[in-house]
Amino acid sequence: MNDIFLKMQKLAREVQAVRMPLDRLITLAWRGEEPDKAAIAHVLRTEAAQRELALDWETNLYRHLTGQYCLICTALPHNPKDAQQLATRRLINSREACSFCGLVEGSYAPIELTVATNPVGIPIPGERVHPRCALHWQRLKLIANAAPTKSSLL
Amino acid sequence: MSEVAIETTKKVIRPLAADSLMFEDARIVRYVAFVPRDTDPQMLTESRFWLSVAQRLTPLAHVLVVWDDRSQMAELLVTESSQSFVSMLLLNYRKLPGIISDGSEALVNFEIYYSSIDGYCARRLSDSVLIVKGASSREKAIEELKSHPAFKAD
Repeated sequence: MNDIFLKMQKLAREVQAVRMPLDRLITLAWRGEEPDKAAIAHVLRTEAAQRELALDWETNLYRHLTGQYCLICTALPHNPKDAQQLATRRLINSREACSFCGLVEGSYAPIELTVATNPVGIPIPGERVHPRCALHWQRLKLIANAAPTKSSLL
Repeated sequence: MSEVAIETTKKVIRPLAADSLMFEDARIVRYVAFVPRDTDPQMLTESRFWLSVAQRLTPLAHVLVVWDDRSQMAELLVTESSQSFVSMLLLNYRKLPGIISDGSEALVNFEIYYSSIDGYCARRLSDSVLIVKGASSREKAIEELKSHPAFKAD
């Protein structure tokens, strides 16, 4: 069981965020090996496995509207400088992509993305996230805000 | 006979005036205030802190104060207020489980990193001894590190 999670976590760390059929995800995670794909897919489809991945392995795995699976790495930088860089990057099509993972949802955006909120629930205009990325986006922004602000030259 | 008379006079209870019972919302206003994450709880009872909203507050108003990273919560009662002055009573203050772990100073001597072979590892920086190996997430690695005998020795 842990072996499956370890492989998925490793793949997620490498790709950051990806959407593809579950079968291909398994092929990628076990490349160079001949795994029992049906058994692994059976485990990964369960809610319990997906919850454990999210809670203990810093990896989001869930079924997308299209029937493909999204694999998202939710590991956060712990120094404010890196966090700031990640939190302030702007995507060109930011209305159609998740601010946290950068996965472009295109025409699925109205269904798959929600408006990001700050921890007390005030929506932030112009930032859309996957519901499962929302908490990590808040965390990332909090870490980024902890950076000492550059003192003004004036 | 006289004893009985005394007893009856003792039992006289004046009933509540009919107009003294009313809806709570008719008399007491409840506010919620979101304050920056670096706000000192001592500052909340200072009149200066409420200067810009003092004229909107009334005596007996309750103010629920939430830090904007959701790390702390306080409840205040306004005892008197004027255009520019309020006096506040701190009724309740509590720390909430924050959505990011506060960077504990005890971890300064340790480096926590992810390696694709071993998962999360924690290394003591002073002598680069690997203390935790194979943890599934950063939080798990910190948890494991804190329960390690070498951590307590420091």
